[in-house]
Amino acid sequence: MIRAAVVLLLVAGISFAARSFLPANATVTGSGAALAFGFLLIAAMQTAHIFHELKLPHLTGFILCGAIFGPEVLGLITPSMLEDLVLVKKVAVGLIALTAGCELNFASLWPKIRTIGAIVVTSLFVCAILLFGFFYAISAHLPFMAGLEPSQRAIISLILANVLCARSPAVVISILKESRAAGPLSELALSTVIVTDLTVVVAFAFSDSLARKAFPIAGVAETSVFGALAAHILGSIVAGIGIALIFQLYIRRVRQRIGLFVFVVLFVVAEAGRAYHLDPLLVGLSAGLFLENVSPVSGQEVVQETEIAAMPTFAVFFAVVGAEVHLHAFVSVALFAVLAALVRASGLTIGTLIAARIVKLEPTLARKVPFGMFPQAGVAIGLANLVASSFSPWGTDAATLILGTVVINEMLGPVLFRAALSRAGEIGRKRDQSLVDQPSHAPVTEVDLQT
Amino acid sequence: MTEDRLPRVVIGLAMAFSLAVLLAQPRFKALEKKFGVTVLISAGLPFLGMGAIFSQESVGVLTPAILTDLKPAFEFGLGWIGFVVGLHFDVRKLDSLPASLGPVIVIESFVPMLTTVVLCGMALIGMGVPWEGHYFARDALVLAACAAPSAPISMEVWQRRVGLKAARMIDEVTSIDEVVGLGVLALVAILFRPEATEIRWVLPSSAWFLMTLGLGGTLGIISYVLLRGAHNAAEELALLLGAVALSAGVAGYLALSVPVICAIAGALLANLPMRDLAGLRATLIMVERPIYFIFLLVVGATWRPLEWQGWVLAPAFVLARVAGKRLGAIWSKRAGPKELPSAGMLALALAPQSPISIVVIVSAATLYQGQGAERVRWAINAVIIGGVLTEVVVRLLEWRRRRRADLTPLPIAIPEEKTEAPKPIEPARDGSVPS
Repeated sequence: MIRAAVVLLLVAGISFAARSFLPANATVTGSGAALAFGFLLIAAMQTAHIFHELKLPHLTGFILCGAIFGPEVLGLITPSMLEDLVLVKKVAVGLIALTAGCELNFASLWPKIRTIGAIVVTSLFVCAILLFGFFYAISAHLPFMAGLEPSQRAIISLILANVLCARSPAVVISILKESRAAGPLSELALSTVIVTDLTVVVAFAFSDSLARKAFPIAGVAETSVFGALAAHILGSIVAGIGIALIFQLYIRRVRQRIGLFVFVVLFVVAEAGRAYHLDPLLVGLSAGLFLENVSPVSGQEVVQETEIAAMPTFAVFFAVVGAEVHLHAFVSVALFAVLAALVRASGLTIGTLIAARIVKLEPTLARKVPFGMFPQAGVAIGLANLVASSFSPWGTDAATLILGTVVINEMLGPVLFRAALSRAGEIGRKRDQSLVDQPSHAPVTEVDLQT
Repeated sequence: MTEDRLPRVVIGLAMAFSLAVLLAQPRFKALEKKFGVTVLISAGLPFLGMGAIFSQESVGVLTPAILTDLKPAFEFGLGWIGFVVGLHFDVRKLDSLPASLGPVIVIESFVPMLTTVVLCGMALIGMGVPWEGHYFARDALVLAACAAPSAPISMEVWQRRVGLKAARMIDEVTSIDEVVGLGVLALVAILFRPEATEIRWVLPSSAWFLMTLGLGGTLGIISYVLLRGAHNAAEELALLLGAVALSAGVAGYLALSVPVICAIAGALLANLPMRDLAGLRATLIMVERPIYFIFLLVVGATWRPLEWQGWVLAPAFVLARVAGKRLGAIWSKRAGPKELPSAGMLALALAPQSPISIVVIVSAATLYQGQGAERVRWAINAVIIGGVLTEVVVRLLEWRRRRRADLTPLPIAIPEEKTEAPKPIEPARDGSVPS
């Protein structure tokens, strides 16, 4: 822990010193991104070491590290550096989603399909109702909603509730990977989170259409994002299946440098996504699901081959997510955000417990499942940005409230989920011959010195 | 990326990837070793060519936007290659070599540099470049730095030609002259600071010298501490990636040479106690080839082979370099250990140009873009074309020697019985373990 803290201070000192060479607003394409990447990777991993000693998830360390050194606190990582790392982030999202998809085997999940379906439906429904009620109840106290008609306030509350129902498959898969967890809780958490997130994205298309009807913009034709979102979702799924077929062909015919091939394809997806509005998360997820469940190639093989890149990818991705955290936004809406996070957590817990009673799920397991649903990150932030850009004048304030709530769920969610996994005894149950199970070359132990 | 460009980008990247997979095949590497062809010719040239074609507006695969996206990977590649060069600089290994090999390394590095400065300087003056300005000296020195490194020899081929001991010595010379090349590049980066108005630090050259050493050393120590703390192979690789990226980023930010700083860090790491340095080296080399290919693809995109000045400078560069190596070999034979092969053979072994030359010239180009940009482009052109021309010259010389039966393989020596336990054999830089 002391070593990690010393290295962290040293690396931060060097990076700050290097940054002082040029004015704060100067951008150095290439070097700036390399500096940000290297610094975030090392700093995030050292923070993770410290968090490991504190029995906290590495992922929270990654996020916190990004938040502290990001533009809103210490400013070592500038917004332009973050922009340069967007591609890294997109490739990382693709890889995380691909891994998530490859981990979900429908055949083994089929006996639990009723349980998964019930948890998804009830947790979503109860959470949405409670959040909607909460936002509508406090709407008179929120400056951006106070002067609006009740129907308009209801629609804004619906939008807020819809976005805050989003979960984070990326966080769940990362926690499962770092803790090498396996078991019924891990399985249920991952599958329900993925299905729920897809439902939330589709539901947002409907909420968005309603909002556009209630808040028409003068001089602008009434266009809904429904069609665009539908095309975006379907397009991403089709692209994902296409990519899975390419992977299948490559793995069966070539069998060389599979990990590198996967990376090149994800790079192309990230680049093409800009032009074709493809979502790397959906593309990767559908590719992974197809590989694991339809194709003759095992998804596990892809997971093993990309293991080498998983740790740096996850560390940098979540550090960047942390650096993008809107801390100022959180401070301005802290009270409402805390309340919204509490209401959300209650909704998820109540919903899951109702589902557990319906499908007769073991109560000890049922009490732990909601913890996998608490974390929020990418999808919620993406939808919040969409709200900010789509609905003027209230969109920006509504997004601030959403982002404030996401900050809490982003920081506390992983800690709670890891604790639940620990209590369920699922941590460290996954063993394979990946790099994580192999020793490093570096340490010189006492035994080495003697021999 | 616009929608109409996507199919081309996909096809282009698929082609680049297919080539990378093909060139990384063990069978291909075995052929490379068997025929003693350098990686610059076997794998480098196709990628450079591909980069040059892909960057054409009519082809439109490596668009400016994609090249910008690849810029961090490019800087990282420079750093990674520098780190690997530094990691070969193990002082303990040097101590075990005959003391008289030192002068050989010095002569074989500095004589070609001197001849290159003279000949390429004359060629530049002949092309109308004013020699009074300090840019002239800078460009001549950069070309000199490119002349020093020799390509790693194929142990398989050279062991048969000159015996194990001599082949080992040549291997060491090629290993150290890369470091000399980077050393000269460091000197250039210290003496000729890039001009930018917004820079906040105004330091004398001596301070930049200390800064270069200090930064490289500090980053090396950080890398060591990081690796010592790694719990498993996955974490080790992640930290290694981070250490190289940070070193490359900090060096680039301070307008210091990226491969130089990373080489210092790598050299320091190589000389600190480590349980399995060879294993760590193998991990680095495993990742090196794909990184090198991406690097070459980006370099190829900025390569302008149609500029005639590069084609004029290239023969001067090749002539100066090969003549310098030959002259150096004659003097080395007098000053060096008696086990060294004949001057002709030594020159033949050291003549092929190392891929590090391209790293050196590109690193210099990154530092001085905008300051005599056209001359930097010519120099890149000259070094790339020079690599190919040198290979042709070496093949011709080998063909001549073969005709004179000068390259007859030596009989395989039967080792004497030894009572001592044999020392573990360190693999050569080409990855092979001598028999």
